[in-house]
Amino acid sequence: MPRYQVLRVVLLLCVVVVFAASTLISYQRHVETAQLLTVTQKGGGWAASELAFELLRFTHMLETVGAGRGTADELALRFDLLWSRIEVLQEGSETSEVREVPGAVALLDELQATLTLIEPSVLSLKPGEAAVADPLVDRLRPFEARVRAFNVDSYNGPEALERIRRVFELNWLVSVSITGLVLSGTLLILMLIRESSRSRHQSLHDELTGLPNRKFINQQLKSAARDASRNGTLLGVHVIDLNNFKEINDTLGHSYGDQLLQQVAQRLCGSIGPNDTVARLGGDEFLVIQERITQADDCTRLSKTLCGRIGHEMVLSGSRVYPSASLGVSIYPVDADDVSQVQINADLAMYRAKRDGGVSYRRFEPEMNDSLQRANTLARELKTAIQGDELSLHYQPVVAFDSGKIVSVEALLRWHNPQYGYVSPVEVVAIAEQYGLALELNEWVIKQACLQYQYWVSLGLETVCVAVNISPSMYVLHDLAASLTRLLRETGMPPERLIVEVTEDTTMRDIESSPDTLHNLKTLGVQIALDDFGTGYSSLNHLKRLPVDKLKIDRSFIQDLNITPKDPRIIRSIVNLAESLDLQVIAEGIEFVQNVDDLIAEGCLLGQGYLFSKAVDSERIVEMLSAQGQGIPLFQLGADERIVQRI
Amino acid sequence: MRVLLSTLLFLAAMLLGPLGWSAPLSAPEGRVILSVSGNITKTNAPERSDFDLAMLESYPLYELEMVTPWTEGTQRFQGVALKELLQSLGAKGDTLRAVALNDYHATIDLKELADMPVLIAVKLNGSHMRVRDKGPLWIVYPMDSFSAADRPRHEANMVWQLRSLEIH
Repeated sequence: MPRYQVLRVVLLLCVVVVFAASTLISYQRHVETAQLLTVTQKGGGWAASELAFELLRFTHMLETVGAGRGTADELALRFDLLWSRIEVLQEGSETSEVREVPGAVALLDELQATLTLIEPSVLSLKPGEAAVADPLVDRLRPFEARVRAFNVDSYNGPEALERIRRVFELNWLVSVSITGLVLSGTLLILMLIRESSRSRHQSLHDELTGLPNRKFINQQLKSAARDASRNGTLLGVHVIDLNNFKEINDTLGHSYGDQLLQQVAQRLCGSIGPNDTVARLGGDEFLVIQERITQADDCTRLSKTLCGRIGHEMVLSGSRVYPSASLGVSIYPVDADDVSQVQINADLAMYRAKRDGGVSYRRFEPEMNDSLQRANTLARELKTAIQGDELSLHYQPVVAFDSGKIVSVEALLRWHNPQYGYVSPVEVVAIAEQYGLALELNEWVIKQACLQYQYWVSLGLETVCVAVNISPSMYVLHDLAASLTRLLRETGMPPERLIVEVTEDTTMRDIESSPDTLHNLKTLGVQIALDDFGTGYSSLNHLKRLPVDKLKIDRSFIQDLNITPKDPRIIRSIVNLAESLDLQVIAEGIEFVQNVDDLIAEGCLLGQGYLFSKAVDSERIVEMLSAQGQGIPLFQLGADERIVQRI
Repeated sequence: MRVLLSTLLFLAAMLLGPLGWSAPLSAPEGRVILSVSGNITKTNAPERSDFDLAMLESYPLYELEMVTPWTEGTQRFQGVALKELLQSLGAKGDTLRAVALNDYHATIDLKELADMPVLIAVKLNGSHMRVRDKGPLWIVYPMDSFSAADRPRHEANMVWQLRSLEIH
């Protein structure tokens, strides 16, 4: 048990003990208090009985003195004591209850009045004057019975008894309420314990299937790995992902999807051994931990069983479904020293199984990690490459067929990585997009292209437009217009000499949601070219609405010209479309002179490709432009033969 | 506040110790209102010391103000410190039995007196007390300084119409 849990149990026990103890103590104190109360209740009665006693002693003393036996001083003392007794009953808080006895105040006042009346006779009484004493005794005699009655009443009269009865009644009520308190407190504690264990179960289990969830399985994986290391056994981690689950959800509805998950969960549970654990990682992904195995074969056997069981026909509310899953398995500590890495490995193997098709399960192989590692390394190094200018731009000329002159260049990204060598622009862009480096990379490209243009200007060359490729996220996540505005200002580049190439397939979808983006670019004065036209997602409506200046026909259509029979129909259509929309057309991927002839025949007058030049570095493009300045075009259409200039 | 003041005075007097009471005890001239007997070294009568009012009032007088359960409103008592009276008689013992004119009695723990300004009051609100006013002597405890729980115990010891003390 973890330490915090021990602490919690101890704390809970303390709370229970304190609760029980304080309840018990308060009950005992309460009983004690009630008993004390009933005893002190009698305290007020003392004063009343003292009055009766003092009255008797005084009348007795009167008789004694009257008979000549006592002294006048003794009589005076008795008289004073009686007097003070009356006053004790007449004032003060101790005797306030006694005064509430009906007739008490009247009796006391009457007795005091009588004493005041007889005071002179009493104080002047001489021993032996029975004639004086006896009438005084007679006057006081009637009070004796009344004081006696008052005394009894105050001691156990109806009020006093009522009060005692009330005390016991309250006592009983308090006992009942304390019992209620104990019961409800106990119930509360029990409910608390139950709730907390339930919420603990909930937090560690999946609601739909009742299987352990990701949190639970992460703990389980760690402890299982510890056990495996201690016992020298192997630990298999199977990651299972259902195929086409989204389609089932979309076509049959989510309740079917839920049923499917529940049945898959049942099948998985029914296929595993006593040492294994099934968990739902989320969505349609499950994980099985296979513990205490000694051979890797045990693992693949279970993988096969699991995939087989899942693949059986399943009936969901009357519909027949044939589920399938992709499974990846990795073994601890064979595939990695760290169990979370083993889980990642299993994940990779699962993706590989899904991608490759045909097989439903794959055992992890170290190569699977390589592509991931490559992406991680490149992403890490791309950042420094951008900052350190390790990247470079190469430029491919776009040539006008009739004059053979370079009319523009397309800037293409080059990266030579020390470890992986040449990295293709597609991969660089993909990594930049994936790892959040797109803004930095694109700004770098734009800036380099502009600086290159300014370099030509500084050399006094005949300049041409520079086209740059912009990656998709620049249109969605970043403010491309703002970047361009700043970079154009920084480099002093004339906007109309910069061409922004929008890749049709990847970018159009994003641009559709914010058509203003291209208009904003257009406002800056830059030209816009639609790259790879004809392959991707674009409607003719886009062409009409968007401020595009150029269409670049995708290389695949040019390649169609190289196979017999030739099919120039699409090229023809694109050229016609461009003409009618007043757009310039540029053909990509021209490799043969014949392509140029065919394109001219279809009305396409500009193009780029290996026939003219591959993408070349800055130095080489400067040479090409200076040659052009001296009247030597890159390409010439001869009368009989076509000559391609090779400088 | 006045209780506190008188308490301080009382404590100060205790620190100063007995002030010249080593002289032999004089005989009462007036009516005897208090007799002290038991384990004492100074007497002026067979096995006891008798006091009249004047003898008692020759001791330093202290003041206590309090509300009692037998009177209405705050009462101002003036009287002899019981402890000083007992010291002056060379009294030694654990308990003190205080007996009233009507034979009521209370037993006082002498150890408790050490740090409690208990008086034998001779005056209430500036006047001598008659027997009718619970006089002439009244043992008073500083009631206002006690907690509610302690009061009943001390109340029983507040003997009025005090007549004699016996040291055991």
